[in-house]
Amino acid sequence: MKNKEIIVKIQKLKKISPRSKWITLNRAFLLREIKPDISLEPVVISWKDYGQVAIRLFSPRLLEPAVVMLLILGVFLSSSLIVNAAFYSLPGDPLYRVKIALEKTQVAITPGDENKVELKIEFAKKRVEEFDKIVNQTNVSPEQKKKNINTVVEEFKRNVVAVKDHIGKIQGQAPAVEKEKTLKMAISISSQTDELAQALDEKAESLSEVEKTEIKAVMAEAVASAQEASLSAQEFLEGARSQVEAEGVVEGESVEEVDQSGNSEAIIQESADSTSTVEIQVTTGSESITDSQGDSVEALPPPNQEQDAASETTKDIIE
Amino acid sequence: MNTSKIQEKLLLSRLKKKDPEAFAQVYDLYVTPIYRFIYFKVSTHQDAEDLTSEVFLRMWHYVIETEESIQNLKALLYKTARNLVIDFYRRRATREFTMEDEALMNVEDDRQQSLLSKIETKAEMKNIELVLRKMKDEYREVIILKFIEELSISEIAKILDKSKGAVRVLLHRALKVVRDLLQENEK
Repeated sequence: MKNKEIIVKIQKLKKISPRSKWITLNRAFLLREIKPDISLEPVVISWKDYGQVAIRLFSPRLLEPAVVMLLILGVFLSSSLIVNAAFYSLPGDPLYRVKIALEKTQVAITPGDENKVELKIEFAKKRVEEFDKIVNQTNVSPEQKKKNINTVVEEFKRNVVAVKDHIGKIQGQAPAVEKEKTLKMAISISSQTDELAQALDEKAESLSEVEKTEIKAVMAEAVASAQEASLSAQEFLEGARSQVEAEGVVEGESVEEVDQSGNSEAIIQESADSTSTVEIQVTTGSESITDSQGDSVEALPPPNQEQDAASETTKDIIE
Repeated sequence: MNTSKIQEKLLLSRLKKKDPEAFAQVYDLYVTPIYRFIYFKVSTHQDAEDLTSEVFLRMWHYVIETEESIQNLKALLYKTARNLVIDFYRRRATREFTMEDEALMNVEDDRQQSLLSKIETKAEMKNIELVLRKMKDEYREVIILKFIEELSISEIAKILDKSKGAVRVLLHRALKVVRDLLQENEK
């Protein structure tokens, strides 16, 4: 016999029911029995009661695994959509603040000053891209455009100033621990900040004359900040070089040991290559500054002198 | 969301406010299923009627007096019914009583005969009722709640104070027992 047949047989027992007469009599009896407890005032169901009923109905549902999973998924999806939308936002968009806040959070949760600097440089690059997009925008009013440019340039400045501060911090810490790493990083920062200053300068070329004069001061500040960051990186590079030299004399043996392993050779070679790029970057960077603004040029050493210093660094490292 | 569940929750909040109308509605809604549930546990209609009446009175007093929030009115009624039946058997334990004999007599009861005569499958119904009465109480409960009262597994779990898994296992075993008993009867 199948289960279904058994169930059908069992269900026939539904026909068993109490006597209808008894139902009525018992109803009256029970109502008499409860009479002493009955409230004298008429019972009114308030909105509060309906609210409580709703809570009672839905609270167990909310704790069901499927509902919890759906809620988590919904929150995750909507937040990832917002983050994604914020990622492509430009100054003036409502989500631009979210984007900046997200970047700040990303920096805050990234461990190590080196990584923070790399991130800040990344963000400064994004600002340059945004700047480019804003400059090319045609569907915004000139006032709005100016406002947006100001915002993006301010953000750029903030990023490069942060880079500079971080370099200062790294310098303050014991650089002897990871000499090669910090050295490489300083080279990279120097060249990248220079690139950024140059890029910002180039993008500004496509602005109209009126717009240029309006944002001149802000732009000048931003480019100067980028140059300062680059300078700090180069100063750090100098410091690191002299330290390497000093340690090389005292701990000649250990350097040889490292050489045998072949690792440090590769690093030095790599550093030398990077330094050569710095030379080129520095030269072009300085030129661009001379073109755009005379004031900040004073802060930089003459290009030839810089080139010589960089070449010396390379030689020393290779030696 | 089931409308009966919303209705039940509203009735509960009215009961809390000592509304006699709400009590009457609860009675009309549940008197037959509670009666049936008790009927399969006791031997006579008289006992079933007395106990059913007692269930509603106890429920009323509990709802208006308790400070705890009641999640499920249906579960509360069935639980009260279970406890009352247990008390009923404790009281009668002193008396010599064989449930099976009385159950068989009960099927021969005139009143039930008149009911049975109205349906085509009279013998079959008598047969399945006897089978249910022969079963262990926990198997019988789960069969009644699931297939006669058509409660969900989670509702049965709440009434029987068991996990859903335990209820499923119980149901599976109970069905097997019903099948075995039915085949035995056929032979």
